[in-house]
Amino acid sequence: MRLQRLLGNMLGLGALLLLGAGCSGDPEALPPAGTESPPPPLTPAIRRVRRLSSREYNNVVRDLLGDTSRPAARFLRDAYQNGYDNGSAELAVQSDQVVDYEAAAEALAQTAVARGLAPLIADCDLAQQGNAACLQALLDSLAPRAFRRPLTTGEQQRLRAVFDAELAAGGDFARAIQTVLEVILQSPQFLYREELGPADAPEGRGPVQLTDYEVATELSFLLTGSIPDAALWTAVTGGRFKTVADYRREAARLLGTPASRETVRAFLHQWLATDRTATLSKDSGFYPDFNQALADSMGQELDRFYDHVMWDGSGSLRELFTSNQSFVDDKLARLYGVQVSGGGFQPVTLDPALRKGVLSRAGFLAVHAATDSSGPISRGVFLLQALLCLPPPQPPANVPPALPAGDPGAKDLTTRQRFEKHVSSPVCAACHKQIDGVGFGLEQFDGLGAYRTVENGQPVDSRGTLLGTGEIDGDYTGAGELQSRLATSRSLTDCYLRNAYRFALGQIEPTGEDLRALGVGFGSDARLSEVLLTLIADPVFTSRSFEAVKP
Amino acid sequence: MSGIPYSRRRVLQALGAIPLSLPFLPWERLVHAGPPVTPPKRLVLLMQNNGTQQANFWPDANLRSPILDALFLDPKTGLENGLKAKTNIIKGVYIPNDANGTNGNQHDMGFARLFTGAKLISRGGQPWGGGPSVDQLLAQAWKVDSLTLAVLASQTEPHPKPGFDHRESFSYLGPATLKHPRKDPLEVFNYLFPPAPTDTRRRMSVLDAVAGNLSEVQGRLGPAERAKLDYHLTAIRDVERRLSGPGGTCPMRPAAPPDYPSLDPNAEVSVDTYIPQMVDNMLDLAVLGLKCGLTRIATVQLGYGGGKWRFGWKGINMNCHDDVAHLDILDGGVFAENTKRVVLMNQYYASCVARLATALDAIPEGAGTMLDNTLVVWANELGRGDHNQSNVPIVLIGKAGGAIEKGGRVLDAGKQVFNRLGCTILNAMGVSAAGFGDVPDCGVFPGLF
Repeated sequence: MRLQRLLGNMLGLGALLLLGAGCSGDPEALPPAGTESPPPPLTPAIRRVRRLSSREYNNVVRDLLGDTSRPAARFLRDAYQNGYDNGSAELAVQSDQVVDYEAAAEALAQTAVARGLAPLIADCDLAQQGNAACLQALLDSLAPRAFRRPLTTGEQQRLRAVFDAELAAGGDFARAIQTVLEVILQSPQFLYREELGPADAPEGRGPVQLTDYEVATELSFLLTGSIPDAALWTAVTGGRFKTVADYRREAARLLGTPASRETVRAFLHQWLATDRTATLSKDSGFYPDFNQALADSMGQELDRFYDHVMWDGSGSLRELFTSNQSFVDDKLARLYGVQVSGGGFQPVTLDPALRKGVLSRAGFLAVHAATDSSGPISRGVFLLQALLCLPPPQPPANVPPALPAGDPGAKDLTTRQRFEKHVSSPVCAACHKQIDGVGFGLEQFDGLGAYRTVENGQPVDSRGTLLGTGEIDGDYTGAGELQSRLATSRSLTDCYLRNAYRFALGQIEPTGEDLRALGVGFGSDARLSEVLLTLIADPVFTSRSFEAVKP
Repeated sequence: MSGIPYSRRRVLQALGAIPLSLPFLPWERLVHAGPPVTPPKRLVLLMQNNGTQQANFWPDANLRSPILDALFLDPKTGLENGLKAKTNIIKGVYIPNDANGTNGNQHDMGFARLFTGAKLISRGGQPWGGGPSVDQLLAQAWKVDSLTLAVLASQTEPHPKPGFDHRESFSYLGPATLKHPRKDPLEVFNYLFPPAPTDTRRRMSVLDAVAGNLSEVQGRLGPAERAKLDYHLTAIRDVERRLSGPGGTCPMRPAAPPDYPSLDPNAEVSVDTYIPQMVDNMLDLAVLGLKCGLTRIATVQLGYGGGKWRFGWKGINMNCHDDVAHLDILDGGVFAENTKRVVLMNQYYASCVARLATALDAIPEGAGTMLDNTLVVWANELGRGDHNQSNVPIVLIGKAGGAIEKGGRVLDAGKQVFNRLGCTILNAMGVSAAGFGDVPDCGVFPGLF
């Protein structure tokens, strides 16, 4: 009791501060919904180089060398600075990464040369044409695809010097080519995507149009997570990639490729943080049935669900958040309480009263949960932040803990009741009304995503209230109704625009940036890819301004 | 041409005097006659989370306290381990509560501000460090790369949870650009002590060409982007230097730590079981890196900002952030059971510091020990577990190559801003500075030098 009184006193002090501040953790709020003025143009981003993420690196070596060994699996994990793995504005290279890149390049080059020189040197006939010509063939074919543009004179000279040094040291042609390949795979021109404009662009503040090669590279990384494929490369080298119509034509084509499916899947996984099933952890005392194989199944269900919505279905936000179609294997069938026949993943129609929309899938629910219980707070915080771009502030300093799930005093309480006690003070209520109003709506699912109506002998209550979300504010019950509301929400579509921007540009939009220009004609029923098609035609995608120089 | 001077070994190799087929260890000392050289200065930063237990940390006149005893006494014999006379404990340090328009709280202020001195900056509302941290400033000044190590595994909350990538490290290359820690002890070992390298000439030639290509790109960039590639270039030069010798100074390749992911794929992510063993490995690897001359700067991070270790190995087995540290809302503690847990956690951290510092103190160097040429900093993101950032305990061990002559003291200059820590470190390491980060004139800890 003494502790509770003390905590109460301390919270009372904090209450004044917090109530004064209100409950908005977002210093970069969108302009109010319903603003009808024409959307202003987007602010051009600065010129920079963007380091490949591990995902992109693996894709690039697959497409450049046919190597599927995924060497980046052992690289340092990329920080999600912009919310995504390609937050390249601030991705740097430290010396242990130089060693990683070196080891990967050595292995890749060795494998590539062992497989045969012909594809590396554009089928040059060494006996007929000689060393110099066949090296040049590499410099004119493979090297430009690796650098995503023709090489400069300096770059060619450096590679020739390495080649000559290797021959002089007693190496044969293959060994010298292998060494050149190692240089290419470790060069910044390979490891970073350039968005700089022409080499002779005048210095200044005004935006400069990116080169055709740079736009093609940006487009292919956005839509396929890799270097331009053969058709796009042919278009750009042949001068048929210059206009917005060209960009749209190539984008439409790329959106039909398998690489595009993978990339859109990666985007959705990262947006909803469902890529974290790979490192999911549960307390075996509470979830004895949990194991990594089940977590892997959860991730694979979502792979299939995302593909289904995006490519077999309407590709819209509404379908993503309301579809009851899915794919389960025997492990998930048990968890979901459905029957399937046959091995592996089978398509299944889930009971829409119990499970519809991505928020009712185990992969989402288990990631956004505690190790020992459902975690309504973290679910609420995440949904506000990721889907509505309304991040609550971090909790005040001295938050008293909720009763732990394993506490003897919690054995007759639902998770909701444990947290309701926790946030009954007025200071906490200011934000928790908003957070819990979302998080409690998913309470019919436990920390693994299993459906429940009773917890610890008490009926589960999944009523929620949306607050501060504009037109969808109000009471609702359960994940299904919550998602139906979301699917009509302007906040959700606006928030998606932000996320699409961040993924495409690899950075956070400037403070106060109005992104409505990307969303003209966009709504819950439109294809998500429409925003990307708008974006690639916008100068924000195809031009860069200059970094401000400090006086 | 790279601009890197050829070492004697590299020249000999180029001349064919050292056949490449002979075993060549990068850390093998090149024997050369000459006057004794002044040992280089070195820096170690050890960072813990979740605050100390104030009443059980600050010591009496004999530097005794329940927590500091775990730093100064040998756990087996109960006798003093010799660190006390080389230790200065700084009292009164506070971190101002300033989220600077970000979504950050005290864990972020501790982790992203303590060693950068800079205000937090926002990336979509998320709080990131606003500038380079002191270890990276030194790394750039010394033209070396630091050894950045961490144990981040956590069963309660695998890191990074969505939106918390910034808590992975307190070390920053520049604004919002983390120096990422290595989390796998065996990877660190293989990085420090690679199997005898082959093809050194060829690898040097490759790296030289890569550096040339880097410089060409760099010429077209603005200042911030150019700085990004500067780090990359320093990193390449660091790898070249370690290839070209004289490299490390240890004659034998040490024993390798376990391959944790082979024991459990999530050992370094979401399993608490291996934490103490991994921490010991990381501390030992930091010592080896310094001992063998493979780095001059090592940082070891024990958990992420606001981490939730369960401390099963100390008999606690609770979420020690939510259910222990947060309850410590008074300097004297609130109830005995909880206070005891906070003390146990902090005794563990103290024992980690002792493990590293006594190991450095056991390495003879010059007229003393390696610890005499090193500054070991034991820091904390908070003062008290309820996010209070007053009296953040700062412990400085080692003589920093003679810069710090006295020890065995608590230096209490009253309330003082945390920026003095960065300023003190820079000056102790021989880089003159009047202030640090956003307080350009804060000065150093009074009475230390």
